[in-house]
Order: sequence, then structure tokens, then C-alpha cells
Amino acid sequence: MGKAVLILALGISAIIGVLIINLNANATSGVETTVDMFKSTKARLIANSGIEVYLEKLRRNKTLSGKFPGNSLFEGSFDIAISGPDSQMVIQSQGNYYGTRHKSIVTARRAGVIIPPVNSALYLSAQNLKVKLQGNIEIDGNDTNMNGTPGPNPSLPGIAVDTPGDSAYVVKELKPKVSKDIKGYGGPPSVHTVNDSTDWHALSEHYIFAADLSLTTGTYSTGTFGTVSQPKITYVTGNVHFSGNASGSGIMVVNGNLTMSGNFRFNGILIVYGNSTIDVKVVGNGGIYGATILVGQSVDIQSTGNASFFYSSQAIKNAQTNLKSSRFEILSWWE
Amino acid sequence: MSTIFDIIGSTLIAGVFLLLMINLSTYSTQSKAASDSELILINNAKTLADILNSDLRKVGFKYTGTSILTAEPKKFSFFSDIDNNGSTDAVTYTLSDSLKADGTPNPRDKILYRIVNGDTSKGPSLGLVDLKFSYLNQLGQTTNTISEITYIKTELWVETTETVDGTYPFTYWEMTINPRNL
Repeated sequence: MGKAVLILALGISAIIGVLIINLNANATSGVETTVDMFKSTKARLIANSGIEVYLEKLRRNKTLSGKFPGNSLFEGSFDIAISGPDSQMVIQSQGNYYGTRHKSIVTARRAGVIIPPVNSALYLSAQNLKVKLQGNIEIDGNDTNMNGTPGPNPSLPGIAVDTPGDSAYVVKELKPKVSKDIKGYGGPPSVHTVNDSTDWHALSEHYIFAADLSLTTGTYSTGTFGTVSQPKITYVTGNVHFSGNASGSGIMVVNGNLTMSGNFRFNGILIVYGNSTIDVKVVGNGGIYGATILVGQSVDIQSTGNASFFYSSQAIKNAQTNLKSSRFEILSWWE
Repeated sequence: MSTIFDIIGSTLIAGVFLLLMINLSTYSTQSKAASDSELILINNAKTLADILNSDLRKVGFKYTGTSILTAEPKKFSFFSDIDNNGSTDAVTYTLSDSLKADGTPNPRDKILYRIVNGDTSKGPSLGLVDLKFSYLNQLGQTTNTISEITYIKTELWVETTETVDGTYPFTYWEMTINPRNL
């Protein structure tokens, strides 16, 4: 009897054991299915996040290219490979999460830099305008190449303003000696009104977002803020004084007052923008080839030196061709 | 006389134990079958979701025009270079009627058609009994205007293909996808 009971007990135990093993195996498989789904989702998100991370880096480092493996993120990692020109940039990202991998491939194009409408050698836009031009200042709306030779484009006004009242005011303030050096469309003194509806605040924000160089308040007597072959977008926050042999090329946005002295030379577009008063003082022998734009509630420009403000389509075109923005257009996204 | 009682008694007890073991064995078999069916159900639902998830994320990939052709509750068609081989494919998702899935005991299951460039070769049923696409705009509101579609919401109702205790256990899967190429 005892043996029979033992055999029965063993038999029941075996059946229950097999049942439990089977149910546990199925439960484990069910959990694995869920975990697999979680892992693949996580790997995909890591891969996509990796692309976003490197798009942000490309915004700051405009020459970034190559392979960047082993970036940690969300308890996983991602490997990045960047190739191709700015017009057809390919960014591959492989997300890794606990053995599960996901590859995302994005093609993107770096958007071009927005060039503001250039309507003169020197554009003054303000509700309260104050102009005091002395010395041997020369403002020329005739297209001039960066080497001083004539450019191909039609002449623009030497000075452009928003209203006939401003135009009359500027002409009245010009001394005869200076008046003959305001050249360009219509002949000296070339001062004309233009209809400009540019959102300078938005445009300045665009340049600030894309800035290659950021300068703070101070005096810069040396330094190169972009060259003709490698122009830069320079953002200056605060009052700045360029002196000595400092130079630059590209687009410069000054959010504050500007003083130029010495032999400061800039090729491209110089925008001095502010919500309130802008004071621009020009002494020395500086030169701007391209266009100079002063926009604010009040603009006060004073010159006493030999500075030159030339309209140069060549300098503007050079900036447009060679500057890189920080915005990307996503052409395709494979995930 | 007592020997006869012993034999009858032990036979009864042995019979009871035998019945117990048979019942336990039957229960064990049924439990395993139910568990297996549930696992298959989960795997089938995941397989269907994986297929849709992978394809819907590629809507409009390397296609510059209006990439969605049809956006209906039971049918979704779009253009995409779905296999990334450089040529545009037309992909359609639609649901068959239940008669097409005649290889399974479940009378309600249907076949999910994934038609690429007109190829209508059908796959297995996987227990899919219903499918619903709905389309959302940028604000997450339902829209029927193709140009406004930003999100594609997919709902799947999946049952077991085999009966379990006379019923077909089911699961529901929902996902909302934002194809980045739209």
C-alpha cells in the first residue's frame, strides 16, 4: 500500500512539475516578446536621438564629418557616421540597446544664408535720425569690387533712408566737401528714399542663430573675423570698438554701438541693429566693402576720419556663396 | 471476508487516485494549450504591429509629391522607397474578408494584405479579425484631408486562430505613428 501511494505521489508530482515548467516557459516567452518590443523601440529612439544630437552639433561645427562611435544615451549607445556635402549630407545613426540595434539614415541639406535686401552703400533706418559726417568720408553706391575696381552691377544710392523727410534732413546736414563724396545712383549727393519692409529683428535672430563667432563688448585692435575665402557670421553683443588692423569678412551683426577707427576693414554686410539708440562713430581709415545697414529707434552716425563705405556686389555674393547657415532641411528620414 | 473488503477498498482508492491523475493530466494539457495559444496570440499581434510599424514610419521616404494615395479606415495606400533601393514603391495595406483565411478554425480571422507595386500575394492570417486606420493632423485632431495627415493611428484586433475552451481569446493593439517624411 505504501509503495503504491509513493508511486502515485511521484506521478502527480511529475505531472504538476511538467505543467509548471511549461507554464513558466510560456510566461518567460511572453515576457521576452514584450521586452523585445521595448528594446527595439528604445534602440530606435536612441538612433533617432543620436541624429538629433549630431544635427545640433553640425549647427555649431559647420565642418563636422566622419565617424563618431560609442556615444552613450539612455542606458544604450549610438554610433554616428556623417558624410557627403552640405547639399546632400548623409547622417547614419545606429542605436544599440542591450543587444538590440536599430539604424536610422537621414539625408539633410544645410539651408543657405539669407542675404538681406541691399539697396544702398549705407542704409539708415530710424525714427530719430542724427547724421554728422565730417572729414574725408566716402560713401559710394557705385558697385565696387573688393580690390577697388568697378563692379558689374548697376549703381545704388550712396545713402538710403525710409522717408523723404529723412532724405531732406541728411542732404541738409551734409557739408559741401562731404556732399560730393556721397556717390552713386543719381549722382552726388546720392541720398534717396527706399521702400524697405525687412523684419530686421527676425533677420538678426537668424544670423545670431547661425553665428560662427560671438564677440562681447570691448575693443578689438587685432583679429580676423572671417576672410574672403572663409567668411564668417559674426555676432557682437554689446558696444564694440574695432581699431588697429582688425578685419573681417562675411556678415557681422552688432547689437549695440559701433566705433570704427584705425584701418578696420570689412568685406560683406555689416548690420548694426538695436531696439533703442544706436551710436556709430567712424574715425580713422576704415573701409566697408559690401553694404552697411544701421537700424534702430534712434540712429546717430558721426564720422571724422577717412572711412569708406562702398557698395560691393562682389563682397555680398562672396558672403552668400561661402557662408553656411545653421538650419537644415531634412530631405529623407529612414527609420 | 475481510480480504474481500480489503480488495474492494484498495480498488476504490486506486480508482480515485487514477481518476485524479487523469483529471490532472487533462487539466495540465488544457492549461498548456491555453498558455500556448495566448503566447501565439501575443507573438502574432507583435508580428503584425512590427510589420505596420516598420512600413508606416517610411511613408513618403524619398518621395517628393503627395505621398499618401488613400486614407480610409480599412485601407491605406502610400508612396515610399520602402526597400531603400532608389525606386519609388506604391504600398497598400488592406484587410481581406474572413473567407480568405480559410486555413484556420477561427471563422472571423482575416488576412492583412500588404500590396507592394500591385503584388497581391497573401500571407498567413495571424488571427487578425479587424483593423482600423485613423488619421490625425498636427494638432492631434482627426482629419480626412490627405495633405493635413501628420499621424497615422492603427488599431488591431487579434484573436487566436485555434479555439481555447470553445472561445477565441483576443488582444488589442494600438499605435500612433508620425512618419517623418510627411
